Amino acid sequence: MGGDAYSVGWLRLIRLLTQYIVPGLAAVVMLGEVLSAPLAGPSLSGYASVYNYLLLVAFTLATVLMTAVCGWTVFLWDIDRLFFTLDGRIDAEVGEIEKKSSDPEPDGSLLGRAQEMLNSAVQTVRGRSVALIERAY
Amino acid sequence: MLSFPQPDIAAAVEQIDKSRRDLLAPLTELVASAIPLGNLPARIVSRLIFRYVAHEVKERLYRRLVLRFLSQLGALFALTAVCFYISILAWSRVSGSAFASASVSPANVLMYQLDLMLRGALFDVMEHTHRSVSPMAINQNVTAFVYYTLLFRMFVAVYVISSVFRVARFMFRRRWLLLRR
Repeated sequence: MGGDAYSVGWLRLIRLLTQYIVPGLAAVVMLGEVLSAPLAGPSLSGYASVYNYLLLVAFTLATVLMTAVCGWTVFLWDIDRLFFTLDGRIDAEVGEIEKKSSDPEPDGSLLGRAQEMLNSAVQTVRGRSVALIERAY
Repeated sequence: MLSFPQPDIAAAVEQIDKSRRDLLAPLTELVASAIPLGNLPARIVSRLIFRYVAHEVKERLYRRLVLRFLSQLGALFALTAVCFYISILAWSRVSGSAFASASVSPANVLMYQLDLMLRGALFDVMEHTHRSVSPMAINQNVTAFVYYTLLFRMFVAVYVISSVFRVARFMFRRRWLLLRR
């Protein structure tokens, strides 16, 4: 129980860092770089020196942290297994779609005529239906 | 369920596979407004359409899942590269001796980072052919900086390129399967 809460706390911290804090800081610094580029001189004033030290410490730590998070994520997700799982699922669905599309042509029976009617009607709303259901997930 | 950094893939797959009767209501509305139904009730038609497009929807959802994971991973790699760029730019300003060159500009630092990434990505090719895209080199006497840049180079070689290879293999396999059909 306590371990779970601890783990959730770490996950939340990583999410906060990688999705909000580090990108936000990087965006602000890059914007500052672009805006201050024409004003930058060869010599560093006191403030600029402190600012650069802060940048150095903060972003060196951020780089090391992000490298660790990348490594952890790559191993945690196990991309090979992930792709294997999803690949198998996609193959199964594609197989079903192909099986459906290779179904015999509708004959003159009541069911065949209903199927034919449905097919022609479905063509018009098919795309919209797929988008609607996909969105709902 | 899919929240970064620990998405529950099994639960996501289960969610996609689960029967979703609640989706029939909006689909019925769509069908009723789009198809002149005659005597057929919209609910029956929507149920048939649902069964008809279910596999296509599932396939699209699985593809979307793959894209979602890849975009998250790509964003993480890009963010690491940006952090590294800012840190070496600050390092070059704080310590004038980090680079062996006298003219250190943001553009030159960017080129140095690109060079370092290519060295990580192409393994020994750059060294062996004595190629470089950067006009600058690092000062080998600044040990901390040397190992810091090595860390980033290793990061590119181990994580980024191995992930790119796996993604390329996955895409190649899918394309190959598509061509075989």
